[in-house]
Amino acid sequence: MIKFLIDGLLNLFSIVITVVLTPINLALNTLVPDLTNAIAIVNSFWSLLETYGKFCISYTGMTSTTMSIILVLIYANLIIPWTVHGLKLVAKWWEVLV
Amino acid sequence: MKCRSGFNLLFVLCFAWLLVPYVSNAQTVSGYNTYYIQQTSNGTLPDNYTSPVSGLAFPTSSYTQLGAYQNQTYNVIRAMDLQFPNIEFVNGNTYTFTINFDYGSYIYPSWPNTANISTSFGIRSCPFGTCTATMTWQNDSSHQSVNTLQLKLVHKANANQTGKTFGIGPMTGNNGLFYNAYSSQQGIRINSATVDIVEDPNYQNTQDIINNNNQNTQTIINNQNANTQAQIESQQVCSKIDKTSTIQNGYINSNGSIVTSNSYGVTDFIKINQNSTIKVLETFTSHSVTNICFYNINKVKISCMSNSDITQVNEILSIPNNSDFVRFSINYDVNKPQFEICKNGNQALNDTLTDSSVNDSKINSFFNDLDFYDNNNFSSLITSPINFLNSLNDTCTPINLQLFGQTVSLPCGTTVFWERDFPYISTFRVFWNVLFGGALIYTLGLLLVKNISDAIDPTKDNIGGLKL
Repeated sequence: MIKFLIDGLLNLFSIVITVVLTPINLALNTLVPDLTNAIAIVNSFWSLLETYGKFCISYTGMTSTTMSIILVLIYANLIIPWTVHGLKLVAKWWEVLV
Repeated sequence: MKCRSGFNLLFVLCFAWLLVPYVSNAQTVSGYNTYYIQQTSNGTLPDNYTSPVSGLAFPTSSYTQLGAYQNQTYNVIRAMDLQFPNIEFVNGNTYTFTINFDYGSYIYPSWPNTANISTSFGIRSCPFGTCTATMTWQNDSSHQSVNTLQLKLVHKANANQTGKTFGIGPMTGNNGLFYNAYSSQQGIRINSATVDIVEDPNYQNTQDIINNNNQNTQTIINNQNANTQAQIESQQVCSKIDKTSTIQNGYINSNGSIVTSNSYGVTDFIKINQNSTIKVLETFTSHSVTNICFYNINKVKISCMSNSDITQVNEILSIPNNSDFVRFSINYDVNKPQFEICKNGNQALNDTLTDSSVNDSKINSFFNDLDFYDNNNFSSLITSPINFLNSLNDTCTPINLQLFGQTVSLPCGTTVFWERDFPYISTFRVFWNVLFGGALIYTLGLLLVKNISDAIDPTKDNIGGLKL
């Protein structure tokens, strides 16, 4: 019984996803232009920052341990809020769809 | 509010982007592929005719001398390399080639680089019509090309023809040999040519064949199955459907016609495919209420047709794309609206949509078929900043700049100061890290605490400068 309920729920979810995303899929396939060059320019910019970033860091005197702690905190500041708010958004989305 | 809606849309689009392959590949088409290389109506090919597939060209209005006949040998009239860019001939796979000629000829199909025409598949006599050759691709040193078939048109000369020149050109005679102003010159004219290739897609994976311990036996068995299946597919058999047990308040008789009673009737889902035809056998009065709806594999309605859409006897109803099942809803008054569903081959054997026929493979493992592709290297917008952050802890390398034609090397800070042999420099570096690095870490820690507090607060849904 539980298996049927879960299967049915997932089936419904799959159908809803298909129905909702089909027009979006079509729009993406037809309307999104070729962004290869634009994205390549952005990547070049970040590559440049990679080259000069660690060069500048070396002058600040930060040791590898200090930098590791700083980077871990930066990652945590990025990941935790985005994950929680992403889950909130998915829950909202689910509420609207179901 | 605008910002929130915009961000929601952005999130949905990003999520949709991930699911694009999943949605696109929701319907998997299986079966046997037929590649129509070129198919012309009856008549003469135009001058300078060029096939869409390179290599297939037949001059027809001018005579081209090719050589002199040799007695009792197969003289090559013309050799053509037919290239199939969309096919990769796979070792061990069997391919069936059907070549149609308007006039009698001999055809010698062979793989490229097969010089001796008396070996391999031999001469195929093709008098007035279809020539079929079944060939198995063998991957050896003499078969290097993987998507090319070579056709050789040959003519076996008799004693009288020995020594005479032959060629191809306009034909006025019979049996594919022409006698015109070039009476001493014989040749073959081809008015049209069709090359069909039927291959079994299950054998496109060479590695699967290699891994098969019973490769030869299995190949033979499956080739036989492939040929049988190909014949079934090509026969266009119009099989009937008996849905007596699955229509409510009505039935479909043994001829496949749906007959209803004086009440509303709804059929079960009847499986169809794109090659099926639904024909109107009898029209109905305006009192009838008839709907024919088409559904996809998930029972999602694609489209419906009503009375006004169906007005003529023998009208063939077009099946919308992505339709896998059809369902009839009928309420007739006077005339009996009748339909006939025809399918190809044996596909009518299982024509009922049951729970088990619902494609739930994606449910069991939602991302199994997710074929992620990175449009325009889109993911680099995320990965590039992350790579930048990761690189901050890498060992510094001197920067080389080109100035006035000379290379200027800028040394790193560690080389210039922090790792030099200065007195107390290592102690000062520890003190400096605690002072400066500690301040940074403390600030980031405060920010983290604030972010977590905001995240767990149900009344706050803003992140950064954006309000979700």
